[in-house]
Amino acid sequence: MKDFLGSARFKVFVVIALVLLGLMIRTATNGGLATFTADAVSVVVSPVQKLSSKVSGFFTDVINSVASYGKTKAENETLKKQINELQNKLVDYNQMLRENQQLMESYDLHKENPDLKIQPADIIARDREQWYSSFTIDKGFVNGIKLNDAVITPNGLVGLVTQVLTTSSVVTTILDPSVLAGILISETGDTGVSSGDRKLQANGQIKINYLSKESTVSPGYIVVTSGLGGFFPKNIKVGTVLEVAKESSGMSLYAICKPMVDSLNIKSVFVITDFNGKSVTASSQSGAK
Amino acid sequence: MVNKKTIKYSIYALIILLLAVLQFTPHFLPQILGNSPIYLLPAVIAIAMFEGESAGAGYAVFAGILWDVQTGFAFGANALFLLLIGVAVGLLIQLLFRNTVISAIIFTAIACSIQSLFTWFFIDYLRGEQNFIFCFLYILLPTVLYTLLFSAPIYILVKRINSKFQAEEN
Repeated sequence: MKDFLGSARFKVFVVIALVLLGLMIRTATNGGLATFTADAVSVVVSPVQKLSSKVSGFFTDVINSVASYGKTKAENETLKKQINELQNKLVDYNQMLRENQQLMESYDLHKENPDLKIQPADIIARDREQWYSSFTIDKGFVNGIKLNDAVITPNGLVGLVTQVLTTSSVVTTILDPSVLAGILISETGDTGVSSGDRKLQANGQIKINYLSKESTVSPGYIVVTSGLGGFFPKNIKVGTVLEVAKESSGMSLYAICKPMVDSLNIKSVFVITDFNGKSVTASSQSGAK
Repeated sequence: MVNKKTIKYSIYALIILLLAVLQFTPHFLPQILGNSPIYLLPAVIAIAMFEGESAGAGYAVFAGILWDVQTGFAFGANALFLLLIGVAVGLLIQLLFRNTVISAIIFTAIACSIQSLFTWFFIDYLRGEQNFIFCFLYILLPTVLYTLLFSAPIYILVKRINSKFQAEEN
């Protein structure tokens, strides 16, 4: 052991360790901006990631179709019932079109937010574990992607960009406890802050905090982004409320919410690179902690 | 003629690359409570056990950088951690432990637990999320157990590659 500690090999290990420590500290203090090393490695690794993504797509489709047969059948029956109910409500719906305009607008991103500049991207890798709830997309700095850009699908909010490399970026989803988003309840106008929660993360659910204790929010209500904080455009669908309860302090309510987007199973996303009201500064209400 | 050692080390590098791709391939294997195994950890440990601390450290840094590129966390953290594991395992096999599959499983269990604990500390604890029991039961424990399933097969694979090339060299 003494021989090893005095050897040239040991000194080399120490130098490598110090270099890695330096890179680590630099990335951590950079707020997600990539170091040159991370960038260089990502340029090399990206093609391999794209290939693996295509291979995994095949496995995903096969496994999902077998594993989800029972679930799909049950969902199909539920959807048929819902279609029947919706058809009955269609006549009423036409009469209520004006009153429902605000809700309708949240379903149509382009009507509501013509200012959105969107960059489509494919998912090329996913983080292996629960700690981060993130994935890598095939668009990076050269495609105009910037740190803290919002990421959506046509169904709703997915998360935000937390690391930008030259040809790829890491997106952290709203399931992650580090991602906060200012929200409002579409039906009541109540505001709150959505965040991931370790216990809810495994079930693909998020928590809505700081809802007024006078709020009439109920299960089934739709949660959309409020636009506060400047990270996410307003009126992007976030999810539907599953249950509401009082915080232990009794000062406010919280809600458990099912996101509109199943971020574990999506294959492509849209990155919003710009919109009216976008902030470049961090906010205590939105963005990654 | 290409040196046998070069071929052997290239095979190790390919194994690391393949395992890195698998580690970040969604749905390749079913998840346990949302957790997937860390294939790179037993691979680095097995290589360090058979090739010593220098080769262990080299492959550890290579595997760690591939891992770091995939996570939006501090770049270099996993490379540094794997470097320490690679060197430590290489030395422990020379000084204290016998080179057996049981040793590989013990090293993997300890290394995986330390990695998960560090991640919990930096990702959750410092952010104010201090529910250790939940993280232990639903993240740390399943990840360690799932990773251990791959410890023996990866050890055996590296052992076979090592024996084959050693026999040819002799």
